[in-house]
Amino acid sequence: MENSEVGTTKSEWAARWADLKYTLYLLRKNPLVMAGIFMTFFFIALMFLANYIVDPKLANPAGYPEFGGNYPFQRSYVWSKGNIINWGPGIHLYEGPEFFLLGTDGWGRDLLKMIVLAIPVDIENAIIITLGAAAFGTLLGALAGYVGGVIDEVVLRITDIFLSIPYLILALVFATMFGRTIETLRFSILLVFWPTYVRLMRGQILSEKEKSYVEALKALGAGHARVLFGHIIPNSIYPVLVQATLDFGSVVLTFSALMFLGFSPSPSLPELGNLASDGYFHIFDAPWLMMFSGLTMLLIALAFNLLGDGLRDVLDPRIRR
Amino acid sequence: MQVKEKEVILEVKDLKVFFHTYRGKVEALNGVELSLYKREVLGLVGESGCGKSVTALTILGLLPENAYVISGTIFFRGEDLLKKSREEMRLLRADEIAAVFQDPMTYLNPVLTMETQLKEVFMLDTNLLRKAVVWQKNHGGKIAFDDLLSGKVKIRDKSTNPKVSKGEINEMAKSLCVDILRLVRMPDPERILRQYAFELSGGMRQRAMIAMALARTPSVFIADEITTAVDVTIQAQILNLMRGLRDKIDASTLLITHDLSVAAENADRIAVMYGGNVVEVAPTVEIFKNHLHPYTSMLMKAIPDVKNPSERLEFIPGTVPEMINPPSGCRFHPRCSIATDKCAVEKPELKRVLKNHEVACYNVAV
Amino acid sequence: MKDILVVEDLKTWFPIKSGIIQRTVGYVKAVDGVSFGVRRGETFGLVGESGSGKTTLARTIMRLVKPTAGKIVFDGVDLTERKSKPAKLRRRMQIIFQDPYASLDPRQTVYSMLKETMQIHRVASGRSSVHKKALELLENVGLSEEHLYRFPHEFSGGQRQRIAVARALIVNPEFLILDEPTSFLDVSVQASVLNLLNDLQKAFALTYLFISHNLAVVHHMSDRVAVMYLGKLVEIADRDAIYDSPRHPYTFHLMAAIPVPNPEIKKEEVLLTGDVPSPVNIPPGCRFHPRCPYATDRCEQEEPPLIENDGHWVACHYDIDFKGGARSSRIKRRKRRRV
Repeated sequence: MENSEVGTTKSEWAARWADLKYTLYLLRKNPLVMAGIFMTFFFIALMFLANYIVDPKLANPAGYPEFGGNYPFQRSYVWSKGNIINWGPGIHLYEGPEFFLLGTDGWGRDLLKMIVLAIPVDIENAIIITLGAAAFGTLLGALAGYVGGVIDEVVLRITDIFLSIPYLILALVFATMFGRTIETLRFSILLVFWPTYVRLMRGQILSEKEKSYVEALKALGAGHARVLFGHIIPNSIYPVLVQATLDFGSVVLTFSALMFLGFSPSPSLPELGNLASDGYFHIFDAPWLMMFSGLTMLLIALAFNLLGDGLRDVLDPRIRR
Repeated sequence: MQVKEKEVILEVKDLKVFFHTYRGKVEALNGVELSLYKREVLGLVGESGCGKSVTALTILGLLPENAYVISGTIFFRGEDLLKKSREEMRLLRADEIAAVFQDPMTYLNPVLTMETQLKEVFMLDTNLLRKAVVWQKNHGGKIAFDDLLSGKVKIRDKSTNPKVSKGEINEMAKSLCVDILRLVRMPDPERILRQYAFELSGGMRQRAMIAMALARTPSVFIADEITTAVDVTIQAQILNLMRGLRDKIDASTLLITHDLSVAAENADRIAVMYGGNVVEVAPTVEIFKNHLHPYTSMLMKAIPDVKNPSERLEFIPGTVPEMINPPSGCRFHPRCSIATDKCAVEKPELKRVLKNHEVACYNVAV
Repeated sequence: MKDILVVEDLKTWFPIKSGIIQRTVGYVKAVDGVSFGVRRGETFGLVGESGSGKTTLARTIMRLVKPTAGKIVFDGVDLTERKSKPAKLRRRMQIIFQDPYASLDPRQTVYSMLKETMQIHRVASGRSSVHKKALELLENVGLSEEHLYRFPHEFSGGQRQRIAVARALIVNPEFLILDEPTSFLDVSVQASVLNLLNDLQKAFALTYLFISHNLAVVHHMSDRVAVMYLGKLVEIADRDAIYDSPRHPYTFHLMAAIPVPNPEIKKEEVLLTGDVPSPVNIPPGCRFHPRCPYATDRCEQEEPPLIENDGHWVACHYDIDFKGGARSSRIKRRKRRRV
């Protein structure tokens, strides 16, 4: 076919690059997706730069030498005078020299700075948990779908059990079982999210398995491992990618929920759920605490959701070719 | 078969249709010229991408959202179909212009019984059913679909409706359904009516589709690759059915197919399409004996003929053009063995070169 | 051995499972006792409609599906024995599938596909030799270097089939099964692919098993033809014998149903009633009897064996003369119930 727009590609990577360019072109056309992408990049950038923007010591008492190495409690739950938002009567206003854009938290720390420090914690957790759950679930699902038989049945039943319990309750149970350190909490949430990937991958594998090209490869003499890992999985991975981006948001929320419910390793750890929990009892006299940390959670979840939506639209094979 | 009446029932003139896709503008139809005479079967033949299905969809007014009709007219009964509103086209479909498409499984509703679907077509015109019931009451005996065809009940009579109960209308619709299934040679129509689409075989589904199309006694019947998806023995049955119905139903048929042999056996005239144009039109016997357009000639030579085997099949080098960046001038010129400079510049118009024979080429030897 | 492939009473049954414990309640007898031999160097055509089992037969011979019973002997080696190693077999027997749009991995470039096959069979290694061999293969099938680094979706159907053929040729097979290679292709492209197949056959001394429902194409390509119906072969003969003087009623009706691209030939209306049956409910006796206009009580009870008569195999109790058309026949007809 004299395909004038594609042109002659000189090598393998050139071909793949052209394919990628097409994906990017499709992405560019959707405004919501672009918004999602920008927001995601913003948060990820923040994740890396947070420790340079805000001195991490400000989360600990050691960051306040002027107060004798303690948290500046005298200015807890206050809102800066002259701030644009007027929360109404009953709000303690801060008359001091510093200006807190988002007010202070229960330890007298600048909320904005705490949120900035909290974002990397949350996003890092989200990435680790999601990738872990996705990797594990995908692999198991691929094996179950490809091999079938008893293995398939067993894996399915196990995922059934996990999926039958509402995810937050499941997370709570695991958190209680495994303890309150960051690592165990990550593990607990991972256990909640992996079954979806098993199901997803298994479904994809089942339908890819029947396709002609798989048969053709077998006829050519390709062994099972090559077919599964070299061909079927790469062709089935897109829904998993999309699900992973969507799950990012859910994981952030779940993690924060656990923190909020009291499972945090340390109450002063800058983490969005922690901050929200701190502000819970002060909803009426320091509403900004809960509001802004909640808003940040929402924005993170939104960013990843939009990204996932856009990816799904773009990678849908019907639209693509 | 001879074409006795020269009355044109459907005339397509200079039809240009483009599609807007992510890759650019697809120039699907590039000035299609087509005339359908009364009571004839016109075979529209071409390979994939030539625009035959798009032509059918344009006539029916069923083009998708990203399609634009740039120019042209489609005259049916003195009116330009392209100027009609969506609602007017909707009324025209099934009533005057009916169509059957390639894959009956996707065109039949999987959750409704055949009876529901077939009755629905009849119920589009309750007026007619009412009149049929009244006629039946007045004249006794049972009215059959054949009677509708022969005009015992005036089908297009727009006079006022007499009072008839809903139950009676339903009954009438149902009995007409049974009749029409018999007409398309379905075994045991009552049982078929109770079944769902997936319970029928491919051939039966196709016949059900044909029944639905003919239920409203249209004047134009478009059959878009109706036998491509079925086995060869079933194809023979369906084509045989079509031939048998010709005498009963006073409709012109536009038979769209990529299989020249099917057109050879069933069409009175054949129009060959390539790259969004009709390149040759002639009566069937004439076109096989004396094909003038180079594309038609090569198409003829590429078909393996059981009665006339050859060692090698001649074929056309190159492939069907991409409609996004089509060749300039005559779209066949890059693959044509007799192309001249003029062919690359200006598209040749369909011209009458012999009696009943039109070709779109500058270089034909008559 | 004169016959490169011999199939003996091959059966492929798929169990139908139902219920919670997945009991086997019946079988889809896709291939139900097929025997034939393919001579070295010939093109053996196999025709049949949907439900006949021809695709399952192809897959069974290629060992993509396990046979339930019977023997497949390739060049003297019994493939159905447990000990036969599939990898070696893959080098000598290859298959081209029907759908060019699905039989290539959409994420692989042509180069990558060819390279992979070469790697599996250790035909070539090292970038330059792989590249050289790939170019050679593409040239053989009428493609060129510019096609090497493109993805399948950038090609037309005909070109994809060529790529599939190129890939199959990497291992230097002797026997090629072609499962409806041109049914998705346009007429002109079909012609070029068929010509290519013929050229390759001569150049590499290949044997073909050509499966298709398109009788005209099978006629063009084959030396001998077999007709399959509901899992069994009903007739095998030389091409001209089968097309001009078929002996089985099904074959006769099949040939009569082919549309001829010549409007002046008045074809006689010979039609089969009823629909193509499914292999779940196989009729007793002769499988064709419910649709056969010549069927008798014997046909309903006794299944006719495939018997040879001077190189022409037929599975029918009667010797029917079709010359006079459908209506004349030399056997007595009993009134049949219309199905």
